[in-house]
Amino acid sequence: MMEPVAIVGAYHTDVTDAASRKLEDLIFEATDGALRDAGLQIADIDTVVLSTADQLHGRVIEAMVTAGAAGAVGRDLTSVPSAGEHALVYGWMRLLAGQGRRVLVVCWGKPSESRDPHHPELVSAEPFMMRPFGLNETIATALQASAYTKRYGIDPQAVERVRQDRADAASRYFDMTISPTIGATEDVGWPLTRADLPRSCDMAIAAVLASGEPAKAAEAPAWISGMGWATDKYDLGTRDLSQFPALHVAANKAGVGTPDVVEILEISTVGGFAALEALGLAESGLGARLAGGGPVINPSGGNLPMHPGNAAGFLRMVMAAQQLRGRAGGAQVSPVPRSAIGATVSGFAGQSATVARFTTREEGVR
Amino acid sequence: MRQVGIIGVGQTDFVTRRTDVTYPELVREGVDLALADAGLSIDDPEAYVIPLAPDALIGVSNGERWVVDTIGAQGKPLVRINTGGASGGTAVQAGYMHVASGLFDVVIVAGADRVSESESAQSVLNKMWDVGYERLFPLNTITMLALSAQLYHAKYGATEEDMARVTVKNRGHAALNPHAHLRAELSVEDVMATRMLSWPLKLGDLCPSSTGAAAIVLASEDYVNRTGARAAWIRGVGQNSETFWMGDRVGPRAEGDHADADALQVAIHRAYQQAGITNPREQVQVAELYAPFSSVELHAIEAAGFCGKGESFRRIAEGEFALGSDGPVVNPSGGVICSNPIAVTGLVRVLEAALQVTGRAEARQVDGANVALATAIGGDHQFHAATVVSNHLEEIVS
Repeated sequence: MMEPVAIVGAYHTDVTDAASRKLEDLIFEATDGALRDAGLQIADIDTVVLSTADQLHGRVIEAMVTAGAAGAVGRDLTSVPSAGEHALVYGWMRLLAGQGRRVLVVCWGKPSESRDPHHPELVSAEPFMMRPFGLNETIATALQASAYTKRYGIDPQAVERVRQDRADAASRYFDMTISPTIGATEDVGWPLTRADLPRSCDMAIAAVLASGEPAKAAEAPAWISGMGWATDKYDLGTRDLSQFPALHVAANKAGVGTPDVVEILEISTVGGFAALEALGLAESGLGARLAGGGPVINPSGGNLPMHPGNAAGFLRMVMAAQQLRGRAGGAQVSPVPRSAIGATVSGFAGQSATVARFTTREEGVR
Repeated sequence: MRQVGIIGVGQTDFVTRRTDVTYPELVREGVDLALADAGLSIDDPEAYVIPLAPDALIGVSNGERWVVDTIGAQGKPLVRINTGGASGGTAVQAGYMHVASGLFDVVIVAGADRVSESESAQSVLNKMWDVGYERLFPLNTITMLALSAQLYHAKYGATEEDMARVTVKNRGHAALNPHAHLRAELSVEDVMATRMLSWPLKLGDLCPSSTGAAAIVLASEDYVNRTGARAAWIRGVGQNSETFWMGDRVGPRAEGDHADADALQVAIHRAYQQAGITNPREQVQVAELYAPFSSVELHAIEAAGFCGKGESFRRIAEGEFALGSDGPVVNPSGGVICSNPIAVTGLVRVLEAALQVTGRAEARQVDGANVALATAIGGDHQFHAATVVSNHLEEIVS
């Protein structure tokens, strides 16, 4: 009998001085913050799950130097580097399997460690066809946006509205001024400009998951009521880039329903429209019209203004949960929502996807 | 808890280099072998777990995304595991969680490595260490474990000949294993005559850089009962992590002792506890212990509880732990010292353990093998995984 799992503590570091701080310090602060938020100590944790990004951060087996800062010495540790959000998936799965009662999940992104983040992205491309072609995240994202635009067309005003909404929300949440127009005249790959793409930041994020009595006894648990993850094909030429089929599969598995809040990873302004459609929140080609009466989308600003690399998807999950826990700070939706969706994609043009459904009431496991 | 069985295994021959296949095609070879062994088709796995250690060894970052089309994983759940050399062992445990959680009935754990793709594996592995000090030292896995061997020798009085006897035993086993990379039998004199790399480790004490693939298919007890599949059951899993800093493994304020394998011992104990093993020397008949160097096997045998600390080399000299001896047999496949395709090395340990308890290990079969232990080690002897398998779901007795 599977016992439901909840997020009972969470924390992320500040972005303002992160680039000048050591990675281990950021990780330790996030770990300590999540434990404090959960009212726990590291001795209470059975398992630590990380998601590492060796190439981006210039460390082979990055879990080695970071495990201590994440409290993993003397503990069961696993790194799930396929995506930051997969660390959440695996922590959740371990608790469903009855392996312990509390799992600490820690992810981070420190793109500033890399002189040029696009260079390691190039190494993500297989060496025979894609790498000589120069494929990186930006080009793959532009190919996705161009396929969507060709199929459905794009309203420039809708794109500008997304830029503005995300910048305004992030300005409130991070308590800083974020301009929506930086890079708006810099073309990066049709139809996208620099302003349509995520802006990198450095951040460490941690969450404490619990099951059974420790979850029920927690203050403001955000129950994980559904989870789905899936992968699409790797070869871009064999995919319909105007859609995110993996995200659609993951959404169906998790059960999106009618959430109050959605924290969704947008690979670009245009990609965000396709992602909302894949979640089933808008008809195909109509993602840009999603406004009013529906769920609140990215009240924290999402990843377009603040994108901590490999951890960006995990941050969406945590922010969705924090809404239900009433701990979303300047992004808090009022009244406190009862259900939220965290939705992410990763890999070239959203090859992989994960969707989590959070609820304030325990609803079992889907 | 839901019981989980290993219903199919597959491994290629391990060699120095393969130029006839890409990395995804190599992974597919392991997948095909394991699915055929389980009597399944490419469409049958419900989820995928891919062990892949340092990306730089195959020269492609996030190579798990590249294999999706080739192994038929599109539209399905897939995650990658990386705990360095322990990745294969950790990935098996991740696969176990997929099934034990009740979320899936049939899951495949599949991977490959092509260590020869990197010009120098040790140059890649040097990047494991911190940028400011240890990387410049220059530490690599050979120099790091030479320090451990020196401490073990000083603490317990072992010699280079004692290490050589580990290689001799395992090469003798590998000669019986058609998949092993290094299969030529050696004498103690042969090992002693090999080139010194970092005292006291010589070339004959070390594993090769291997290329190859491996996969296992995991299934729920319900599935096994429903289909009548042959299964080796995963009875216990355990992991543990040690401090990254080797300076914290020596001296009066040490958190561990770099001579020993105390953190591995904890991981094994956790697996034993779940499996109900209290007297491993009597209850475990075979062990596939992750030991890339001869010196590592000495303290790994002790961590497994097969003898006391500082005793293993004397017992090996008396013929224990070898095929045909009384008591647990260690590394009947030849072990890591004879084949080390890093990403799947820990997976192969579990795979060989499953073959042993189901009586399918052919010439390397241990008589009466009902319970087996498989371990894996990653990082700078930092991440430890232990898995206990058996051929039954009854209480494990002596």
